[in-house]
Order: sequence, then structure tokens, then C-alpha cells
Amino acid sequence: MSHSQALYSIAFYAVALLTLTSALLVVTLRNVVRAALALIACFFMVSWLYLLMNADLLWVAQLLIYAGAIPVLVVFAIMMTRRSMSDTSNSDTSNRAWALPVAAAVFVLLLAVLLPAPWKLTPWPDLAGTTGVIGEQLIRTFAVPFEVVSVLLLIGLIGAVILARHEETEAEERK
Amino acid sequence: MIGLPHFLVVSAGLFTIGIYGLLSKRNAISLLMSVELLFNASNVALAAFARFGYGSVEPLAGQAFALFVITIAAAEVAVAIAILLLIYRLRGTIWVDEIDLLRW
Amino acid sequence: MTWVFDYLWLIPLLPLVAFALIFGITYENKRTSAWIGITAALAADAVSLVFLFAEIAQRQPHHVIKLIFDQFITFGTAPADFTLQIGVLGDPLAAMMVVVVCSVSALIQVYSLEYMRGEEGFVRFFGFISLFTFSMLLLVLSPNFFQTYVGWELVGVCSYLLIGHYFKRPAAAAAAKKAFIVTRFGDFAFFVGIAYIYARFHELDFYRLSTMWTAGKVSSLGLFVIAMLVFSGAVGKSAQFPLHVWLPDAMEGPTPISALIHAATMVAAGVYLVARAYNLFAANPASLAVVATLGAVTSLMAAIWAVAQDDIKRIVAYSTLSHLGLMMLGLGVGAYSAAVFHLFTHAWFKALLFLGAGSVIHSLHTQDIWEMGGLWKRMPVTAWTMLIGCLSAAGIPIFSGFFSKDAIVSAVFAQGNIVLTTMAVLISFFSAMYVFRLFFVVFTGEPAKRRAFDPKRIHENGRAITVPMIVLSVLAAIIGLAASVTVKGGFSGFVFYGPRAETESINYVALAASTGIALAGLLTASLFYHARFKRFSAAEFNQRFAPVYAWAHNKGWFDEIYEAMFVRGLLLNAGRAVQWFDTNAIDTFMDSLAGGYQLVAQRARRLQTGRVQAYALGLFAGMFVLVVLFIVFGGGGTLAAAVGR
Repeated sequence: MSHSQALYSIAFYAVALLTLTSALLVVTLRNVVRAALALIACFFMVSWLYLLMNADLLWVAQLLIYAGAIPVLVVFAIMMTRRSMSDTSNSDTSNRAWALPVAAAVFVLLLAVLLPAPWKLTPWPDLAGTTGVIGEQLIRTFAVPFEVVSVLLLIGLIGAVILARHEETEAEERK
Repeated sequence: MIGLPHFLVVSAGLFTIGIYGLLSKRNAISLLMSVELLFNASNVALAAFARFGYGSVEPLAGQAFALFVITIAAAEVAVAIAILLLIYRLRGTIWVDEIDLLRW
Repeated sequence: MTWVFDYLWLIPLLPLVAFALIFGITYENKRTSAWIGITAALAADAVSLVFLFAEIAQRQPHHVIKLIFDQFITFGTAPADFTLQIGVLGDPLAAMMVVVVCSVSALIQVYSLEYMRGEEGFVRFFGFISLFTFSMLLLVLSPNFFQTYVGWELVGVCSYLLIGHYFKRPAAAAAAKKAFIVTRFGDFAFFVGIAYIYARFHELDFYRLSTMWTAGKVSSLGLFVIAMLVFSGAVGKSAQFPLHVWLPDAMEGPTPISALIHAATMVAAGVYLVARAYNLFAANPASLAVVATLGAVTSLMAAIWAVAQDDIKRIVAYSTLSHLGLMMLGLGVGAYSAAVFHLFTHAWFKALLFLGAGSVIHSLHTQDIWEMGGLWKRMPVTAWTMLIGCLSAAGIPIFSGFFSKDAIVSAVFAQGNIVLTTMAVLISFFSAMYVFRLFFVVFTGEPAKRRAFDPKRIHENGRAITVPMIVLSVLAAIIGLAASVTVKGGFSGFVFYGPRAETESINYVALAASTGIALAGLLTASLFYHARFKRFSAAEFNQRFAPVYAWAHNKGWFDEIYEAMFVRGLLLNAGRAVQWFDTNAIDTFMDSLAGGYQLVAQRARRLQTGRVQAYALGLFAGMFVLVVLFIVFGGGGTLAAAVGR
């Protein structure tokens, strides 16, 4: 094992461990605000995972959106639903007894399928950065999904605004 | 040394944790957070396949796919929170085990 | 005129079409429906008359069979396999019957125009009469046992429907049921007989079978059994003892029905069947003896009972029973032509008697003869026609009943059996007696005093009622004479069995004797019942012979005996058993089925918690199970192919 490889391994294991730990915290912390903070941490770690995979565009995108925008939304939601400020605002349901076995079963199933599978692996070309290649892909192969996603964002925007409007606004409009 | 299986294990772990959170939490926002974990898990897997199987389909198709997933997840979170707020306004609660109008 | 043989199928078809039209299209319109029925019957009658004349014109004995459905029902493809046919048979016997059925049907439908006016179910009445006419014609024109049985059952159903016309009255509903169930016994035995015939002879056609009976396929005991089974059908339909109990109760139906079904046609079907299958009976003398005995017993008992009845329709009903028994007696002693001739004449005068009774009932609104009286002056047409009918029924000379009845009695004399002869004499005596008892009580003297009924209201009925009666009375008066004179050899030259009689051998002694007996009966009746000439008191006589009177008045208590033996014993208990089974077995099964579903549903609906999380749990768990199943049971190859190649 070369020096860089060893470093790489250590980095990977550290990041992976932190990711999983913060994810666990998200689902186990009783206070939802704290869980939201753990979520930020998890996303942050995932972005480093991307970097470890040479996915630099994804690394940045993840940081910007997942670790930036989405937690903001989540915190907003927490703030607006005031009751969840309490200490037990993220408690467990009675389903908990079932959730653990099912989750464990799914985990075992995934590993049992993914690990032994004979993947056809190819070597990684020495790219300067992934951004150019992904950009080309977006314009060429994935042009239609690209456009559709932009429409989807528009719809999501409009929909969210309509749904969350205050009722007084609707009542005023009726007059 | 670190190869595809390692990343897949991380992805599987994230997925599992997401499922557990989805099934065992009362707060609707926690459910939302768990769903985000699920998205991330699949994104990690996609990026890993793009990295270790470069050129099997389009080059870096997995990463492009993951990019789309991020976009869509963002839109989805926005709409989901809007719905959540509406429910909170109407029902006064965000505990999912109290929102059971379709019950027998 | 032989062209008519190609169109015989029209005869049953016309009433059937009328039935369809009445129930299908003109049900709302009373007048149209009634006239459709009448027109169909008249049209069929016209064809029948041409048919009759064509048959009379035939020199040689002949018959024509035209099959309409050559293979109505078949199993198997080889010729030796099971085949049932529908067709028409043209021979003198059929021609005669067809004219009777169509004419009486037409006449009573005209009669019903006034009789049933304003009654409930007017259109239904006419529709079912057309259906009945069709069924009876199907039966009469049948060339084989199968079609006869089909017609047999159909007329049974129509009889049920028509007896129970006023089905809202419990008595009528019960009478209809009784008629159907009692005849069922006979019908069932008949069917077994038909099945036996087919099993042995593989043939059901009358004419083809006529040569096969003695060919050795069945032993003489077997022939006797077959004959008895077939005769059972006749016993049921023609109300012979012991299945006679339904006929008097059938008087619950409207009077035109009694005239059509229970006088002229349906009850004659039994006699007709024996005549049709006469070869079968002739092949085994023992069966003929049974027929004769049963007929004689029925006839005598019914005649005695008729003398002690007070309901006008019941008297005529028992008269029918008696005459039918007489026909059976005639057939049994070998007087084929005489018996069939009596069937012919009886149809006219018995229908006439019923229609006359109906006319009286229609005017006086009562059926009890002791509430009548003095109608001679007040209802002249009815009175004269009834007189002719009674004279014919009693067998007074020149009137048609005389010719046929006399022929039968002569034949019984000729047989030489003392018992039967005595019975025949008594039957003749009582026949005259009960019919003139009826006549004198109803028509002579003064109207009986009744509460809330003013005698001045009695008047003759309208044309629709009187014209058919007049027509029938003309026929009842002259048909006997006409038949004997116009057809070569008389009626026996027309319808006969065995070698044709070229000339009628007239036994003058028997002629005088039977006339004398009939007159004696008439005289006795007048002595007891004629308002002006009576010498003796009927009431005193009945008291002196009280047990006899009781037996006669109660019709031998057969109804009571059957009720106790069969109805209470068998039917009621069978009914109870079925009811127990229905409640406990079937209902329990159904309830537990429903209860089971309810239970499952109650448990299962708890799955619908309404909570999304629970559903998500189910989703993931299910997904897990499915994937595992997929991998374990054959999906593994697909998976490997997907990732590895």
C-alpha cells in the first residue's frame, strides 16, 4: 500500500464513519432541532464522500443545496410548527419495534445483493474535472430530462406558494 | 484499495438508517429528513458507479443522474414543507400518528 | 281437400300466436286481446273443419304424419341413438278431437266476453285460454308419446293457471295446487311408462309402435306394466278413481274454464290417450279389464254422489266424472268407436251444461241449487238450452247423448259380465236422475226466498252468453243423428279399431232397455223434485237412508282420507323436514359464510390505520419479501445477467 493510498483509506473511513454517525443521530435524537443540525453534518460529510470519488461538481452541488438550502427550509419548517421546539419533539412512535427489524433486514438484503455481484469495473481516466463532462452530458444525452426538471422546479415553486398561502389572503380575494 | 464495495456499503448504511428513521419517528419533519437521507444514499451509490464503471453507459452518467436527484429533492422538500405547514394549520399537529383521517 | 294435410301445423300455431300477441303486445287492451283469442280459435276451427271433412271423404283408413321438427332433441349421431320428434298426425280420431277443441274454445271465449266482463285479470284469462288451446292441440295432433307428454304437461300447467285465476282467493289457489299435484302422480307414472317404452322399443311413434307391441320385445307382464303406467296418466288427467279428487275442487275456476277444460277437452285427454294407444291395451286383455273396472267404479260412484250435491257446478262436475268413467268402461270392453263417439258428444252437451250453469250463476249470484228455482219463465233461452243439454246427457233418444251412450251400454251387455252390466244399468239410471234433479230444482216452481235478492232482478243474459249456448244446444241435439246418418257406417265407420264395421248392427233390445232406464231416471227425478208433480219428499228419503246420503253427500270422504293419509302424513312432514334443513343447514351455512367474512373484514380493516408510517412499514417489509422471493425462486439468473454478463 502506497502512502497516498493509505491516506486515502484513512480519509475514506473517517468520512464514512462520520457520515453514518451523523445519520444515526438524525434518526435518534429526541429534539428535532438537534436532529436538523445532525442532518447538516451528515450532508456535509456526504459531500466529502463525493470528493473522494473525484466527483467535484457533485461535491459543490451537495454543499450548496443539500448542506445549504435544504436545512434552511427544514429549520424554517421547525420554527413555524412551534410545538416542535420542545425536548421530545422528535420522539418515536409505537412502530419502533417493527422498524428496527425491517431496516436491518433491508440492510442485510442490500449487502447480500450488492457485495457478491460481479460488477464490471473500468479504470478511471485521468479527467481534469468532471464539470465539463457532466455539462456535455446535460446538453447532449440528458437534454430532455434537463428541460423537464426546470419545468418541475417551476411547478414546485408555484405549488409551494399556493399551498402555503395564508387563508386570509384567500378570504380577502373572495370579497 | 478502497473500491466500489466500500462506497456501496456506505450507501446501504445510509439507506437503512433512512428507512429506520422513516418508520419510527413521530415528527413529520423528521420523516422529511429521513427521506433526504434516502436520497443521499442513492446519490452516493450512483456516483460510485459512475466513478468505478466509467464508460459502461454514457461517461459520468451516474453523476449527472445524481445531479438531477439533488435538484428534484430540493423541489420536493419545498413542496413537502408547504404541505406540512398546511396540515399543521388545519390539524394543529405534526405528529404523523395523529393524522389518520383515512382510518377504519 | 287433401291440401289441408300440408297445413295442419296451422291449427296449433294460431292459438300460440294469439297467446304471444296477447301477452306481448295487446295486454293493455281488453277488447283487442279477447278478439285476438276468439279469432285465432275460429281460424283454427276453420282449418279443423276442412281437415274433418277431408278425413270423412277418405275411403280407405289412412293417416298422415308430417314432422315439423324431425330431430327436435337428439343425442348422438347414429340413427340408432336418441331422437325426439315434433309433428302433426292426421287421422280421423285427431280430426274429430281438433274440431271439438277449437270449437269449444271459440265458443267459451265469446261467452267469456260477457261472463268475465269487469272481472279481474280479463286479459290474462284470454291469454291463458289461447295457450291452453295450443297445448291441447299439440297433444291431440301428436304423432308420438313424447309430444303427447309435452302437451300433457302444458295443459296441466294451463289448468293450474286457469283454475287459480282468482288466485287471491285461498280456495282457488288451493284448488289449483290440488289439481296439479294430484295429476302429478299420474303424470309421473306416465313418464316412467314412456321411458320404459323407449328403453325397450326404441320408438315412440304411435303408428310405428302399433305393430311392435306383440313382436316379442317385451313379455306380456311387461306390456301390462306399460299399459298400467300409461293408463295412470289417463287416470290422473281424466280424474278417474283414485285420482278423482281434484276435479270437483277445480270448480273454483271461472265457469267458462270448467266448460272448456273440465268438460270438453283436458279431461278428455286421458280417454284420448287410451284411444290413441289402444293397440297397447288390446295387446294385453288384463289391462283392458282394469280400465273397464276402474271406469265403471268411478262412473257409478260419481253418479251416486251427484244426486246428493247442492252446488250446481259440483253436480255437473260429478256428471263429467261419471261420463268419463263411462268412456273408460266403453274402451275397456272393446267398444272403441262407441267410447270415442261418446267423447265427441259429451264435449258438446257437457260444455252446454256448464255454460248454462254459468248463465244461471251470472244472473242469480249463487251456486246453491236450493237458492234457485222458477227460472223457466224468467230465463227462457237458458232454460231451453239446458233442457236440451239435460236430455242429451241423460241419453234420451234422438238427442246426441243417446247414440253414444246407448252404444256403450249395448257393448257392455254384449260382453256378458254381470257385474259390469249391472253397474252400467245403474249408471244410466242415476245419470238421468241427477241431471233432471238439477233441471227441476233450478227451473221449475218459484224462486227461492233469499235475503237481499229480489226475484224480479232475474233476467236472461246477453247475446254473448246465449248465442254460444244456442249453438251448443243445436249440436247437442242433432250431432248424434247427423253423424250416424251422414257418414257411411255411422261413427263406427269413421273412427274405429280393428276391422271396419260396414253397417251398424243395432241391438234393438239394448236400445229399448237403455231408453227405458233413462226414462225411469227422469221419472224418479220428477217425482222427487219437480215443483208441481212431485209426490215424495227428498228430505224424508235422505233421512231414511241417512248413512247412504252422508256417504254420497260427502263424496265418499275421499278428500278427508287423502288429507289424513297423504297430506298430513307425508307432505306435511316432508315439508317440516325440508324446513328444518333449510333453517339449520342452509341458513347456518350461509350465516357462517357471511359471519366469516365479517370477522375477517373486522380484523383486516385494522390494517387501515390511516397513518402513513404504517403503510411505509408495510411497503418496505413487502418489498423485502418480494425481493427475497425473486432471488430465491429464479430471479437470481436475471440479476446476475443484469450486472455481470
